[in-house]
Order: sequence, then C-alpha cells, then structure tokens
Amino acid sequence: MSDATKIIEISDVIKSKQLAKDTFLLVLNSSHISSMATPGQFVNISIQTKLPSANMLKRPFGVHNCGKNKLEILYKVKGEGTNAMTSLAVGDKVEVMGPLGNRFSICKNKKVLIIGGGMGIAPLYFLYNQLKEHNDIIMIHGVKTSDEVIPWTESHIKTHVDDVEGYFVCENIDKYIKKEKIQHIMACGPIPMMKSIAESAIKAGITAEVSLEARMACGFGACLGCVINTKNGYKKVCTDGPVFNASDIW
Amino acid sequence: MAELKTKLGRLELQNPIVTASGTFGYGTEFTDFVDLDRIGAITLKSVTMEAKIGNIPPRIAETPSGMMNSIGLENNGIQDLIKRRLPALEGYKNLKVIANIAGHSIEENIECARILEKEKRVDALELNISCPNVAAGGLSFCFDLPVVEKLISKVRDEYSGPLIVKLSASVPDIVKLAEVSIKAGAEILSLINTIPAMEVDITSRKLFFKRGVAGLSGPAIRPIALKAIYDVASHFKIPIIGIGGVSSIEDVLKFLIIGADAVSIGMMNFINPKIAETLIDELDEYLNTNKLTLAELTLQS
Repeated sequence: MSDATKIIEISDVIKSKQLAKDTFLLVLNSSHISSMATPGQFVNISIQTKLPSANMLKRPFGVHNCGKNKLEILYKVKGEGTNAMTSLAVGDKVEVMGPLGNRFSICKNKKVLIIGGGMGIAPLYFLYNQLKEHNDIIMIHGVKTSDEVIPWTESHIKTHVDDVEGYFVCENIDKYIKKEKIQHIMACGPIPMMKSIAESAIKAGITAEVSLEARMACGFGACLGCVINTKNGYKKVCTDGPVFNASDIW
Repeated sequence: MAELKTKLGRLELQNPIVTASGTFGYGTEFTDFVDLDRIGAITLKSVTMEAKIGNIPPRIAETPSGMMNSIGLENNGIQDLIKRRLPALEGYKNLKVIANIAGHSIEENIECARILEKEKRVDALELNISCPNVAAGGLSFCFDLPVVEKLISKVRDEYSGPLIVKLSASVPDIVKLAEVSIKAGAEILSLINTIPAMEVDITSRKLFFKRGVAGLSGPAIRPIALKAIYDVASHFKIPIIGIGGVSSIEDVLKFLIIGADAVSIGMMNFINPKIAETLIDELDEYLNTNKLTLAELTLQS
C-alpha cells in the first residue's frame, strides 16, 4: 500500500497548549501525514472521552501547519469531543487519518487576500506559509471578542475583533478589494461570512476559494453524510472539497 | 492458518467477514487502507434504477456508542454502477461482490434484479426491504407481509444467483418476517438494518433531521442484532449474515456463536477503514489459539 494517498497513523502528542479562549494548539509527531499534507486538506482525529464509546467518530480538523515529522492542529472547544482533546498530554497517543480532501489552489504572482473567521484561520496558516514566497498576501483573522485573539508571533496576520471595531470582518471587504487591488481571495470561516466574501468577489470580478465544513462519519467519500448544496447539486465536503470555488456554491 | 471458508448456501466466501451496504461505498474508497481481495464479501451501496440525490443535510449525528444517518439512498443509478463501479472491482479474484438493490416499488426492484442478473461481477444480490430513510419502499415493505412475499418471489423469478434479503429488527415479529421471506425465495437473510431513531436540535427546537427519522447504527444496536439473529437462527436453517455494531473480534465471535454464518461490518468501517482485514486476522488467530473450527462456534445449552 505504498502508493496510498492517505493513511492511518498513530501519533504522539508533542505539545498541547491553550492560545486563547477555548482555543488550543495540538502538535503531533507524524512521519507520513506531515510529509503528504497540502494546504486546505484535513485530518480525522480519534477522540478519547471518559466513556470510551461515547464519541466514536473521528473529528475532522484542517491541517494548521506541517513541519518535518510534525503536524499542527488548531481547534476550538465546541463539544464533548474537542473538550476531551484539551486533556491530551505530551506523550499521549492519538490516531490520525489523512491527509483527506482537496487543497487550495497554488497561485503565483498575485495579490491575495487570505481571510479566516474564528477557527477558519486554522488551515489558512499553512496556506500562507506555502504561498508567501510567490505572492503578495494580506492575511486577516476575524474574531468576535478580544479574548479570542490569538497572539500570533507572525506580524503579517492582522487581527480584526468584531466587538472592538463594531462591524464584522467581511463588511468592509468591497472597499478593501478595490483599495488593495486584490486579485484572489481564499477564505474559511462561518457560512454567512464566506457567502458575503464570495458575493464581494463576484461583484469585483475576482475569484475566491472557500473551505467548508460539515458533519461527516468517514472523511473519505464512503458515508455520503457530509454533502452540501452547490450549483451542480450535492457535493461531498470530504472528497469534492473541503475547498470549493466560491462561484460553485453562491 | 485456520479454515475460514464459509458457505452461505450457494455463495462461497473465503472467510466470513463481510462489509455492510452503505458503509463501504463501492469498495474502491477503501483501497488506501485495506486489501479488498482479502475480504469475504463487500456489499455495495444500495442502487436504484435512476440516480437518487438523497436527503437534505444534515445527514449524520453522533450518539453514544453509535451514529444516526439520513442519507436517503443517494446513488448514481444502476447504469453508473454497471459502467463505473463494477469494472473497478474486476481485479479482485478472491472477493465476492454483493449488489444491494433498494427500489421504491416492487416493479423497480424487479427491473434492477433483471439488469444485475447479467452482471458477472455481481456474485449475489441483496434485497433491501428495511431502509428507514426513504418515503416509499424501504422499511415500509417490512411491515406488509403479503408485499414482502410478492416482492421477493418476483425478484426471485428475475435473479438466478444467490438471493439475500435484508431484514429490519423494527418489526413486530421478525420470525414471521423471516418465514415469509424464506418461503418467497430468500436463500440468505441479512439482519439487521439500522433502527429508526430521532434527534432534536435544542437551539432551533426542531427535529435535527429534516425527515425527522434517521437510522441508528453502531454498537448501540448490537444487542438488538444479537437477539434478532438468535430468534431467526433458532427457527430456520437458513444462512444468516449478522450485522449490527460489530467492532471487535469478540463481537464477531458472539455473532457467529449466536447463529450468524457470516458477520458484516457497518459503522466501524467509517472509524477504522481497515477493520475488516484486522478482524479476519484476529479470527484466524483466535481459532488457531483455541484449536477451534468455525463450525464449533455454536451456542451451547
């Protein structure tokens, strides 16, 4: 099975750290998935709750970053599964399946706006690292409240706090596209945010890619549980996505 | 190596491990994880004459020890199965392929059976009369015994290969349902299908699934499956494929002991896509270690 494009790997937790309110960074050792994953792809992680059989399905997470033998996941506590993940300690074993799904496109020599709403920033961080060399990128992370601000060490990530600014990150996007002469947008976040961004992109005559999420059982195209409605009918988020051209959806 | 060969009437498998319809796609989705040619049989996702777009999402909800689905038999229709899916399985010489048909009417099932009769890559036909996720056909068949009889005997007339009928445990009397099915021409029974279930969204105060009802699967339904297999196996000598939350070698053994002749893996394929192969190895090891044969895995009084 050496030509497999996805595998199941047992990874050790290298680091688990809280970065902001309910927001955690999980660093896993990974020899295979870390070498195969591309920006936009996701992994399915097994959850160990107190009652072992309570949460059986693996949870999908966008790959936040990859290094040599290292896989990073950024996640927010939303339910029992992610809550259980916060108690993972260094040395704990986690079952990881991946890399799954498709990737964001590889663009070159473009003025790109990368915009993440809330945890939508997770896969975009990896994307930025890969695109930065050959593109002029503006990267914005939109959060609702100040306690959700992630203390990025990278100066290129601008944080927009809705409660502080008094408006959503996507509200001024029309003007922004014009002012900065944006040619392409890559976004991930809540559906209303991505829809609004998609509409702005279409209005401005530029392209946009969005990464979507859905409840799924398998992550590799077998259960048909994660479909979303597109202009061409139902598509699977796991294998037709998670990255879609915004114009295929809205 | 223990002898794992399993005879389900005319359907001969290299081992008793099967994958359940709807949980294993068309096989090819799993080739990164598992060697298909080692599995006893795979059951393809339910097919209908025309393409079906399936149910409006959300389609999946998790529940302790299981999950609920409301897929609604999404598939690309029988011609796509023949042109695209079956040829992709040509190379697997040891694998048996079970096609699962789920027409909304007796006529549609007859038509599907007539078409699949000509397909050499289909080793057996499973008639799904127990899906809880569709408005017409599906589980409603199981509640109407005269319809069950007519449906099976008509399909029997069209299909000359091994005919499996997939039953639901959500009926008043599964023994009666099995009896009618056998009389009408079922050669193998597979049981059980998912159990009709519901979920509520607290925020919207609405039913979580658009259709309200969804199908519960996973270890949560395992004891129900064991009881259904016990009931049918203690009344009839028909080969049984046991399905329902199998997730370990212990579960496989329990199913075989209580009366199943083969064991089908469902929800666990999503969580551990190589589980079928693992269970084959573990069954082999168990029989060797304990110096037992498959035939000796029977219920003791």
